[in-house]
Amino acid sequence: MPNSDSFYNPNGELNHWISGSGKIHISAFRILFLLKILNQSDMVFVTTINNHLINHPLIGRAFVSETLQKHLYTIQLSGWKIGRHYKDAQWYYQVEFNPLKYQFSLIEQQLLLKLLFLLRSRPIYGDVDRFLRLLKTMSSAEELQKISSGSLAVASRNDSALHQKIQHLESFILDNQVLEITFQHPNGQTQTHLIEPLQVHFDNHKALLVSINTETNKKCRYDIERIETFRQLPSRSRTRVIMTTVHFKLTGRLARGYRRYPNEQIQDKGDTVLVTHTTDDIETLLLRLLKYGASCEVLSPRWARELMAKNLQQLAHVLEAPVDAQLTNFVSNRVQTTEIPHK
Amino acid sequence: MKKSGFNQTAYRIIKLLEWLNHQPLSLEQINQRFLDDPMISKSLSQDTIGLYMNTLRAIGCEIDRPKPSNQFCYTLISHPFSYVLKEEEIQFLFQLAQCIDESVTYQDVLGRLRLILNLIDHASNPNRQDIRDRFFEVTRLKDLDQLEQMIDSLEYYCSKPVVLEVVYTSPPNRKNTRQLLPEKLLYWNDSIYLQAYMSEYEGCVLLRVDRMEQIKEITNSDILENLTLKRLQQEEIWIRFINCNLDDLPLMNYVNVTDYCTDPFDEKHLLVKFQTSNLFFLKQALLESGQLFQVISPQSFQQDLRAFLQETQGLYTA
Repeated sequence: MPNSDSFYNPNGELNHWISGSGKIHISAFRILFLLKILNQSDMVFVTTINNHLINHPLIGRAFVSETLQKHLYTIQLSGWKIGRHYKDAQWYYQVEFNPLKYQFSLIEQQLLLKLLFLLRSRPIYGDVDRFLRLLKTMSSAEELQKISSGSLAVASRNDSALHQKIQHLESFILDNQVLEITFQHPNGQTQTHLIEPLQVHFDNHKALLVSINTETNKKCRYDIERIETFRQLPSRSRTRVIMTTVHFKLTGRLARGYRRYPNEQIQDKGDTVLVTHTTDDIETLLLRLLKYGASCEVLSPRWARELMAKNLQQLAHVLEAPVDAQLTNFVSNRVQTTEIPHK
Repeated sequence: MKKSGFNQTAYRIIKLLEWLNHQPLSLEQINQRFLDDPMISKSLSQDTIGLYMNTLRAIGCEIDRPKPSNQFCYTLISHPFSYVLKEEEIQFLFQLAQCIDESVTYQDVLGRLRLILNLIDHASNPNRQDIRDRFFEVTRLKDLDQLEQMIDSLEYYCSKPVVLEVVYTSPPNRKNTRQLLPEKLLYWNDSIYLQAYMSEYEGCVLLRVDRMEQIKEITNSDILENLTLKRLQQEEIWIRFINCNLDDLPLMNYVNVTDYCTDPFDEKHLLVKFQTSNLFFLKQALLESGQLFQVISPQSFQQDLRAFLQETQGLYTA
């Protein structure tokens, strides 16, 4: 509480007070305190403000309406935007612009954009609307607009056609649709593919569609700009219709040094580790497990175990096929002519 | 001139807070800003600015005093005017820090972790330190600043022919010192790795950067020569990817591709030449690519892969 260290202005009001950290300006403190209250919630009713003021040991009284208006005016002059609204027979205030909120750098905007693409097509990692709400809480609506706007989404090229194409593809992904696409191959030929779209991936200023080609059953990545047309087919994707929980066993050195992935629970049994992994993309999980070789065995569900066995068999079949002698000669005599893509 | 209708001191203090939120400022710089602001247009004494800083501290701001280590600038560490993260939002941020995307680079991973930590630091939650501690626990990091500094140094050393002495903790908690020739950094298998050459191992090795505690450049021309020779002893591997084009191969981001072309006998397929001294890593990258492939040369690698697959298939035939 103010004590003998306090002193008063000519109107008899408390002006300065020696707090724990030294002398402070009490009338400015009141306005900063008001600002702090306004930031604590989306809707701050006048009664709430006055309750806080009365209960504060350095203030101890409510503001009359004129004082509140004057303080709000000071705050707004300093660069803040405070809205006054009416609800349930009461007036409330809302901070509409806060210059002290987080401002994302250009690099951060790019990172957020990649996350936005990831969440839009892979809800297992989190709800995209929740992500946008969180960004709005932490930053301003203008900042959020920069990240979610179509122009940034296609890497500042301001290409609305591409943005629209991405939006369509994203809705097909969420609906688990199968598509027929015509795609211009880098060699100039136009090809028609049947695909189950999985994810829109944004990398190096390029939007890619990650899909399963239903004819080859392989994961492919298509540069979205090279997709000329797409048509929805009357069937649903089999690849990622449901979430799957897979149990697998790790042994040996891999088991001893294994680091748990997100969406995984592990049960350590010495030289053996039992892992429970939940995924919306079984194909990718099985590929990761495949590379662990005999140190990893898929236990259940049975169909995942069978799928793993089938993948192994397919790969072994191709690997064991005799290599054409002409091809061996070709590579041994090859003189490099192609440029290696930038890495 | 006294301006009516608003509180001049509160205005000055709020502006001061906004300026400090962008960057640390010295007394002179603060006064320059006061002079430049048409609503203030005057400089203030050190005592007055001290009074303003105390007022900001009393409301909950954390401000560092000017001292040599901050170039004699007032530095705003935190303030209570941003946002308060709810527990579910904190959990959501942790989840984002951990999600793994296809073909993500180590710079992306580092940037994402830094961004999320910045967002936590910028929050007005009174238990911010506790949230920070939990962030490090879920991401299994000890210190992000240290990791960033380590990566900066390694990026610098990777571009030079130097031998490094690295204090490295191998699992479980075995600390040792290793001498190596660094080659490149990469993100793989949920971690950032340094690809390097060491006298004790054939081919290149991958060391997790977060397990490195100290690095220092050492001068030893014999080791440098030996490791440089080792680096040059790379094998060329030709792989034929079935029904594949270049965009389908994210592995090209982290394995060394030195040539590629369309299969001259069937243009649906792609021929790629890899150059590596770490066949184990290439084998894993090929298997994880999800592509069907054939090894054109060398035969030894083909046999190695066949044996690997046969052993794995054994688990599923019983």
